Amino acid sequence: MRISTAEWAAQGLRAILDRQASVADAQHQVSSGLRVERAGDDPVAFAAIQRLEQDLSTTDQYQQNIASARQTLGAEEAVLQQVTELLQSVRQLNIQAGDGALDAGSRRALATEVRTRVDELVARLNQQNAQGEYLFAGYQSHRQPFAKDATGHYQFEGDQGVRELEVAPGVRTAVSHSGAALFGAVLEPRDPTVAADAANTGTLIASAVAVAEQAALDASALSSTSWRIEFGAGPSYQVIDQGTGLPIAVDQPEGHGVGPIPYASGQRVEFSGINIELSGAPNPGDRLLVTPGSQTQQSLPNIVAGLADALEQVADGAIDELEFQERLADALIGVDQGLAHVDRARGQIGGRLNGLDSIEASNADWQIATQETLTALKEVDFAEAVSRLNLESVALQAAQQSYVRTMNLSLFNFLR
Amino acid sequence: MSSDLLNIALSGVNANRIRLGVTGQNISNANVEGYSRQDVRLATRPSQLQGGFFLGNGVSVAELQRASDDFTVAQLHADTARHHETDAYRQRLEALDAVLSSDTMGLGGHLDRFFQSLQAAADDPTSTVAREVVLAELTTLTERFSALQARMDSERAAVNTQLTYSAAQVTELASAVADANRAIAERTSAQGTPPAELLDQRDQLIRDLSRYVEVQTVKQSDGSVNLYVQKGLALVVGGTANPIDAAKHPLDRDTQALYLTVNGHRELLNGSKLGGEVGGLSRYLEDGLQPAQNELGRVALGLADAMNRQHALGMDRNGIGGGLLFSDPNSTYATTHRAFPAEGNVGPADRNIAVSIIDSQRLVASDYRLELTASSNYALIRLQDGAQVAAGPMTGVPLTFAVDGLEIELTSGSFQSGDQFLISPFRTAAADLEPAIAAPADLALAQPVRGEAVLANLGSAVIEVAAVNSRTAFDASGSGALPLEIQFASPPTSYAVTDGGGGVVATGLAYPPPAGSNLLPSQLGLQLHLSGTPAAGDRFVLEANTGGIGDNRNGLALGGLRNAALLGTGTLSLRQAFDRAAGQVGSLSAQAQTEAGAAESLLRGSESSQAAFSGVNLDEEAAKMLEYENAYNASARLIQVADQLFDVLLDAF
Repeated sequence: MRISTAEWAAQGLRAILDRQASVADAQHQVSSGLRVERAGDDPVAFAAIQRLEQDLSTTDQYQQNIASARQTLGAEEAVLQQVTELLQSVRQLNIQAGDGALDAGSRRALATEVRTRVDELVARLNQQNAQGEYLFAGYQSHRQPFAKDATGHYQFEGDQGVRELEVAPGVRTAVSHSGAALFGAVLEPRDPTVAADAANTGTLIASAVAVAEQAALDASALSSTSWRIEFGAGPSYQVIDQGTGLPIAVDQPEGHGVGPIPYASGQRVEFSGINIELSGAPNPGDRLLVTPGSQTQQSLPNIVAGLADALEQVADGAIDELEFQERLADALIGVDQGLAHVDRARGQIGGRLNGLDSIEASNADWQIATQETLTALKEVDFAEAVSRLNLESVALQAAQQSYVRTMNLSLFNFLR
Repeated sequence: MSSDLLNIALSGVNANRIRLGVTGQNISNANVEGYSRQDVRLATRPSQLQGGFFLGNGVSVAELQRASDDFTVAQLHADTARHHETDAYRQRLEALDAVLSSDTMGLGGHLDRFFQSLQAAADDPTSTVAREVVLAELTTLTERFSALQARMDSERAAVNTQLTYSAAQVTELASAVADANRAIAERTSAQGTPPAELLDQRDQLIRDLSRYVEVQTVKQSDGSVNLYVQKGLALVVGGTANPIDAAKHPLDRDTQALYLTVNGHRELLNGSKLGGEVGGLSRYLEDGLQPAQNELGRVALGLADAMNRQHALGMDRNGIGGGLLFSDPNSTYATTHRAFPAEGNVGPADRNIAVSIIDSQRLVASDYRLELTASSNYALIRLQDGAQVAAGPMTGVPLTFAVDGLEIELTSGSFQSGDQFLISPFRTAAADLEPAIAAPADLALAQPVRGEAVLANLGSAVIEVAAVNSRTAFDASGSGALPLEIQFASPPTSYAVTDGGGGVVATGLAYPPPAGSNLLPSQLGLQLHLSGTPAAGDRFVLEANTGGIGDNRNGLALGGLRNAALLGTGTLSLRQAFDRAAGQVGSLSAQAQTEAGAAESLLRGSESSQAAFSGVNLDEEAAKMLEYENAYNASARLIQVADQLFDVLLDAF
């Protein structure tokens, strides 16, 4: 077989150029550290790389959101902690104020102290964050949520909006509480009323009405609007739900059940959380109408301010000791409710923070795993790349040397 | 008698001198491209009858042979065309691949960054800085779209220039082949065989031509060669060449098409079937650039459409409904610049077609051809797969039909049978994408409605506006106007809805609502979420979110579009769609590399077999030189012998 000399030279040269390209390629991979730079390098790996990179950057954002959520929740928790302490000190003052031995001056002094607590409480409820947003205002975060209205009462003026952040795909965590539920609507105790039926013929009266158990009253008020105590022969009585017309169970020392229950003057009857003292002599057919009373709501600052008002009024003699004690008791119920609200919110914050921790940890695990996969897909195996570079370099040298050697072979060299 | 000897010796000297000359020619032309090795064939001269014997009469040169094999040469030409086709295709695809895959030029990273900035703004909706960042990222993103579009446009322009240049080259080379044909035919008829260098030259010209387009050769009896392109269209017939020129494609004005003029008749060539560089470049336009550019445009439209829709459902920092975030994909300018009449349409050029995006999810990244057929029907062909996707009677303007998420309206003009239009909704969409939002406060991160449980409620239920689907009902002042109120009946197993005007929207709705249905009638456009237990008489109010600047719900919804399947009928997120296009270019590029490698080794093979047959081997020539020199010396010695014989004879007298 004959070989064209020019073609032989060209082939030798081509071999060198091909080797050079391989060396350059290997060298580039070693210096860049990347195996896949363009989709064409490995289309399948490229698709996976793009997807993983997108997922990684999304997860980075989630981690940032988690950090931001944690910071926001932490700030709220700190404020709620202060509110708890404030309410506890108010509770202390309330108990102190109940001491009947206190003179008017001491009560005034206590009132002043309570007023200070009110101001501190309002300051906490109107707490702003670093961006100047009110923590408890809801969506209207630039509007002060608790302000005094014309009558000197504190009203909640925000909304019930709650901010949420996305912390994992499809998972949103609330990072705020609206002041509406927390501090805007503390339920005041119900005040049940008892009225004697106009058609009564006996001397029966309800000499005292008290709330035995607020929760039981609230619960029964949900289903019944009023009751009647109906007297019969004996005398005896039954308590009948006006809505259903059926007798309901009654709690008392003489018996428990729907009755009829024997009656004696001075007896107390208790049902649905209401305790009524009855006296006088009823005739059969006489009735007493009992309503649970309406439920009103007050903002937490108003409840505390109400304590100061009561202290001042009793010191001024505007209310008597009995009413003062009743208002103290009401205030205490309100403050306790406020404390319960705050405790629940703090519990929620704790739960959310725990949730964030676990999401953050699983996000981080996922990031590490993804990063590893990404590295395996995208980056070169250096041991392999370096040895390939060496191999290609040797091959290039061989091609160069053999070219020089073979190109010198010519019959003309021997023609003398 | 000795004169016979002298003649024989002389014939040997002459023949070997010619052989030495041809060897010298071979040696000196060893490195000339396209040179075919020559060889001298000797023949014994006819003998003469002398004294009853046929006595030899010396040697003569019978033929000067040119070592060339038609089959090998044809193979070389075909492989040259294939190599240049695959190589041009590969080179362009690799460049496009590098652009689309690059971190800085590609879209993926920028899309991510834009959505991240939205998330950050949603984390802190009252922060002007976070909003500024969104605007900056939005601008960068649109610039990235424009830059990618510009790269693709300049790619297209470069290919078009290359096609124009190739057409000129082909025309020039074809006429050179025709010239060579004429010269060869002339010499063949005059001398029987043409000079070898003319044949070499013509082969080389055809090889140069094969670089641009693939040609089929048919040898004629007069020694000329006819060239055909695209299986049977005559490029060169004997001494005449037909010119090829490049001009705008009749349907697609952005693309350069090649035309072959035969006998004054101008024929449109199918670029991708031509082979050679022209074929490679045309295939690149069809398979690589055009789909990628359409996909880029589709992503741009999908982004603008989906983001604008969601943004419009929100409320900005100033308490106003969200405006445009990106330039409107259905602006008058955009809709009227998506259809282009074909060159051959009969005048006057008064047809107007508007193409609007009605459902960006269903868009298909393709161009379309709208045809008005002879039977007064219209037909829409999707060029990506050649499918007819819409057809119907052409009843007169305005005529509207919808297909693939597009609404095409033949607005006005004298539409006629035979009209053709290119509908190209995506080609410039990326360049047309611009920020439409001016101030940070215009970013609508809040929802326009908030849900409030009335404080006096006895139940534990809390209400949330999960999504705003439409603003039309509650923005209006009539039925469905805000504030809406939901009131539970006693027992709380049903509820009534009243609107801001005091009108009863619905009453006696069952609670909890049947699975999968919403609390509110769908025409109100609000999706609610009620958690906890409502009590009898509980009321919930949906009111305008006045002052709700701390609300981030629409911001979350906007950020959520990052991974939402906004394209491909709910199968692809924006980034996935772009990545898929980049991946497709990558696959093509990887495939093209393999193809180009195969074509190159085939070319090397046919080059070396052609060189083995026709090329010069210097060692061979050196050996022949020695051989012929010896033969020459021997013949010259014979002259001396004849001379001595003559002298001996003379001395005898």
